[in-house]
Amino acid sequence: MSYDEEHEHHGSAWGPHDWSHGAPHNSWSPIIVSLGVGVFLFGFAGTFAMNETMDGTIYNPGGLPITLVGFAIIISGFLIWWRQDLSFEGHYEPKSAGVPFKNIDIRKVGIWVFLMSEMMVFSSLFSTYIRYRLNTESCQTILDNHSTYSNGVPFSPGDACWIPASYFIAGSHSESWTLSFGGFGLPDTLVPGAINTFALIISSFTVVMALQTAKRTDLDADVRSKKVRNYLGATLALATLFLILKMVEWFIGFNIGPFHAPSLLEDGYTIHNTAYPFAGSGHGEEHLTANLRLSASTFYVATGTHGAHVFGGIVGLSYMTFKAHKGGYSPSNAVSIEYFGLYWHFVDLVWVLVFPAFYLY
Amino acid sequence: MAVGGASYNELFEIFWNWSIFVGVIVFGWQLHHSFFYRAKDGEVPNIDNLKVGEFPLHYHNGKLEAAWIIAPSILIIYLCILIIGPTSDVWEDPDAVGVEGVDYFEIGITGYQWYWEFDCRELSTDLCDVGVDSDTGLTTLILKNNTLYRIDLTSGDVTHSPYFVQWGAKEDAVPGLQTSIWLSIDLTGKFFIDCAEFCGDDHAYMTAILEVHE
Amino acid sequence: MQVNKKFIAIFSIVLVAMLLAPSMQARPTGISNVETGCSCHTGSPSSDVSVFMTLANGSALPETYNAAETYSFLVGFTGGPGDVAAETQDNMGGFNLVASKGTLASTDDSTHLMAGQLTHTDSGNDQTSWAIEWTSPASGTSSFTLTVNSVNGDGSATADDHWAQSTFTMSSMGGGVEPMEDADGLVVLFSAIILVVMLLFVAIVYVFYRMNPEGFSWAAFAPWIAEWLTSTDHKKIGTLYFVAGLFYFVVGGVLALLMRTQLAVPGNDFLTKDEYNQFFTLHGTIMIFLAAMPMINGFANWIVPLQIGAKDLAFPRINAMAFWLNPVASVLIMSGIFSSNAADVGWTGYQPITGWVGTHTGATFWVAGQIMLVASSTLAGINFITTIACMRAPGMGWMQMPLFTWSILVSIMCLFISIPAFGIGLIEAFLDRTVATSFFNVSAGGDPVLWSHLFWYFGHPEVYVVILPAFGIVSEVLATSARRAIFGYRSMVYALAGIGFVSFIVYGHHMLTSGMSPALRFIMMLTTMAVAVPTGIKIFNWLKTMHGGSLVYRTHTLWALGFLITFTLGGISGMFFPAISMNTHLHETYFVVAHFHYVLVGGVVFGLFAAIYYWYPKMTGRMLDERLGVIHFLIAFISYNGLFWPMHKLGLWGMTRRHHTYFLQANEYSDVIGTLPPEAAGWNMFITINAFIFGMSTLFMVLNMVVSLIKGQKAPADPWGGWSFEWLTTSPPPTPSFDEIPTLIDVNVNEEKEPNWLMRMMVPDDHGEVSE
Repeated sequence: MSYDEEHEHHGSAWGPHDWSHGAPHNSWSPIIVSLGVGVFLFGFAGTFAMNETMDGTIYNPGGLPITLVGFAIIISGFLIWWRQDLSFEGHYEPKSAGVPFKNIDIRKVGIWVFLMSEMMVFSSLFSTYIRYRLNTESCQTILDNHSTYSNGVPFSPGDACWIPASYFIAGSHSESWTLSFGGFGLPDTLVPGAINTFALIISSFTVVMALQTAKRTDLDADVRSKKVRNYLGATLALATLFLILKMVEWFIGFNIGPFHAPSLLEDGYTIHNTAYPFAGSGHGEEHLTANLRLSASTFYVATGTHGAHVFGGIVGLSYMTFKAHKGGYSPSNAVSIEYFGLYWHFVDLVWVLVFPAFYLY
Repeated sequence: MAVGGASYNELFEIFWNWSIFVGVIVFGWQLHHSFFYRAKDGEVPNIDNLKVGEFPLHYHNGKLEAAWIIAPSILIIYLCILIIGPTSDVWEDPDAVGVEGVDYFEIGITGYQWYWEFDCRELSTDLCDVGVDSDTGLTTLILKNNTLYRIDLTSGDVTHSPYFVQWGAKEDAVPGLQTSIWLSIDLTGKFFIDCAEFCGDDHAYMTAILEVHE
Repeated sequence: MQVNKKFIAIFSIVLVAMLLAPSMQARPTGISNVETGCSCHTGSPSSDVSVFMTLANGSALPETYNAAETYSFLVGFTGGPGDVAAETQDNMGGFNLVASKGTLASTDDSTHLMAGQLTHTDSGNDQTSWAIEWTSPASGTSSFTLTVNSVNGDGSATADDHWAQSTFTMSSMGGGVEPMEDADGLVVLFSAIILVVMLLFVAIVYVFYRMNPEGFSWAAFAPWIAEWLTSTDHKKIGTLYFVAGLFYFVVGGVLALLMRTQLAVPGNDFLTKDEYNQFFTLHGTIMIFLAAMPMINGFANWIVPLQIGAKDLAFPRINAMAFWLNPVASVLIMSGIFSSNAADVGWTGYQPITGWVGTHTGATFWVAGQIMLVASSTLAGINFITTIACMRAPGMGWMQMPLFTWSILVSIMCLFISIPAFGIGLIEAFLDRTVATSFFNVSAGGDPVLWSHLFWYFGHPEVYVVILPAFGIVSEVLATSARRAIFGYRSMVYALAGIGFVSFIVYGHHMLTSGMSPALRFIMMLTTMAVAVPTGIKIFNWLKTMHGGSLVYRTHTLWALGFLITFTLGGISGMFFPAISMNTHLHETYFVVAHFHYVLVGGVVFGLFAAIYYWYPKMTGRMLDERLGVIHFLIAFISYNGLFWPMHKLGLWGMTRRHHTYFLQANEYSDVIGTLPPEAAGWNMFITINAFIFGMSTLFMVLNMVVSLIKGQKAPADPWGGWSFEWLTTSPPPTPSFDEIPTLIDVNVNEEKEPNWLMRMMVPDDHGEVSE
């Protein structure tokens, strides 16, 4: 067999797959995505470097284009991947043969195994959080203790102590409590987080609705596709809303009508802030000059990792909405939506843990 | 040449003997089997009737298998009991365990890139002194023989680890954390303190001298 | 004819690259066009301009210098348009000075150092002579190349500006004898890698040519190479993994040999401390992540689907992705090595030194590369766990799986559950080093020990991840060679699973001196002792497998028997560490180095060698040459023990690892005296010699593989008489790997007793059924 023939047998490594046989399909996507990840990380490490005193960043704008090129390469790799998958209609859905997963779709087992790894990712982040939260003395305690640590050592300005993000978001620092309904109050800065919680929960519902609709056989293909697209589109919109509100909460803040909330950036809750004047509660003018870099690092990286997972979901949802728009989902391959849904519910569940741990406590 | 502390030497000897014992059994067994049970020239026999695509008949013996679960377990439990005792030499506070009549003196070592800083606290120069060695020009910590010291460690930059080779004692000096070593001095002379935790370029040169006098 | 042109073009590029490679390091950079004057002034060298270089007091340059003394010089020129400009005292000239030895320094603001060369500053433009300093080296002849520009003062670079160049020399007082140039370790490495890459390329072309010598054409080469780059076939990806792993074994091995050369004699300066630190960091990272893991993945890719009777892995494209992340990550990990800026933190990357600002910038890329490897391992994990759980052939319950597949399953499970912790630690470290978060920054309250926990929670399972597949390989090889079923199949499986489980609760023994809480240290001490039990079961089972057998000696049999010896030795020396009062002495000494090399080389690498000799016929369809194999085994096994056994003794003497050099008690080599007894020097030399022999012995295997691929005997489907499914297909197997999914027959089925509760969970109900 000549190379040309063999090549033809596999179908194009760029384009839509022929799913009618089970042979391996060649693909340019893996090598391109890998290259993109490498370029992205290379560019990122070239763009940002910690400074000499290790408390700030040297920004080298020359590296930014490389980072963006890397990101573009990753996206183009995924576009190839999806272009190959777009033709998938459920003809070739391999089933598991072995106990204990007999007759379950192999893809389903795969996604559960993947979620196992994701659980470890968030466990590790929570370990970091618990380690630092429990072993770093809280600024409030030190202030209550007349600026001494519990072991009697005096607090000197610029020392590290813990100010939880909830102090800025849900605690006494948020002075405007305008959003209150008869005794039940919600600090303004908590509003984006609160909306986000509902946005994610609703989006979990819409993705299930998309699955359920895609499975319906009593609808015309056209009507069904449209509905599936709308449900997936709604999920996409809610996920995007989540990230936008996150940006509002972190960087932008808002000042709308009776609602006024500064962003965490304006509040000074940043990873580089070594001198935050912490007034706490109940001590009037007295305050500490606290280094809150550790506290902020833990908050931003843990919630940021969750945000990155939401972003991953947005990327996936964009493809799925597009495929639904093209009429790609039918009862025979509706399970694909279920597998995305498993991931999406997981992200939702993590938020349910992240929210109380970082925003309220 | 005496290297390592008393409890180290004692344990090492026991472990060494058991190692030889286990080694003789395993290697003797292997040597015997690999020559005694070898195929004759040109012969490719098929003892257990292995066939492609057929899971072979189980070759097992419950009693034997149990024996070599239990026998090593007993050895391991025995060794575990042996090593628990000397552990207290490494970090336990004589005050905390209520040992009577044990006096010890506290000194401090701080690691910097790439030198050691010794702190004699309030001890008299007889018990602890810091000087410079005339032969090598290295910083010298001068301690007294037959004395128990608790050395509190910390670091001013990255992690270091002072290594008292003759007493087999080391512990990481971690920045932002206080750790300690118990050092029961029982030799006189000049000894080296090396750095055992990688700390950057001059890691190998991060040496000081411990001088013990009567 | 076009073909030839292309070939000649590529060949000459290769040749030029190889010629240029060693000189890259030495080439002066920073200021361009030194030969033709400073880049800002064109024109030609002029005879009107005369160059001078004198001592600061105006007397002529002496012919000799004293070692390590600082001299003040005056450099400058007379004549040319610069004299005209002297009236305005503006833009009179400039200079560039290169010293081949010693260190140049600037004395005032009229001069400054650029890339080691001294040149004038903006304000120094208005002079015709400049005062500078030079600190002399220990020995040798230093030549000074002085280039000057004489400028007419109009501020523009025109042809009426003149320049001149002259060379001055000074020799050491010890006489003008030039000592032999020291080999620069980096240049050696750079050249070696370039050479290997080129050879690899030539080898790829040659492999392509050999496949079909008559039909060779460059036009067919592109689709052929594209096929390899895009393939999702488990066999092709397995081969890619294997080749990448072997390549990095060579790179890691070369690094090790350079380090051993440095350590051959006390107080050596073959490598600088800076280079040594980078080399041991990269040696560890490469050998574990870029050599051992890809080799294991290569065999797993090749053999697991064949053994369980699957046509391919569950997610072929994800499998390809898992592979391709590796080579890209390797570039990031190695980055900086050529500019002497690679990671210098040790493979453990302990904090705070990894997050410390004085660490090379390469450490950032090193961390980034490892993040990619974490992603790769996660993807591979999803694939293998799913494949083994879901795609076993009919009749193959969990308890009928070949032991190699079992070992891969257990090791991948360990990896999969532990590696996210490492990934998160790396991301935190990466962000620390880039956007300056403060996870491990002590001054902001960070805790370096947290990194150790995250790292070793992954790191300890990781070493079992690499050793468990070797257990699987040896189980297969020994049983097949002894022509017996493995003794105690079930206890082997439970021991594997037990080792996998125990690996998660013993990691603290790496941190017994790290300042971890005493209670935790105490628990880890006892759990670590428990590792010996399941490992002991395996060793005794292997020995009993030979009992009553009929051992057929092949190369892979020899390697498996060698593995038994070396791994047992490594296991026994491991028993010394959990005891805390011994650990405080042995930790971070060469005893540890000896121990983990006995387990990782004597265990993993010997296991992989056995696997190469065992499965090579299946993969390529050609038999390996047994004679070369035996020679390889004998040389390697003896030199291996000569290489690592003496390290135990060195460790007991207190020789500390990660030191770029060491000193003896006797004051004979240096004014810095050290801890080691005089005989340590002899042993170190002995170790180095054996290291070279061991390194070279691998060439026999590579040679064997290449020669056998071309003219080896054709291999039958089942050359060794094994029972598992991989011997059922042809050698090499077709794509997809089975035309028809086979069914496993379990000859025990009739005598199976009433299964207990555990067996009921593990064994399928349709045990032995043929349907589906």
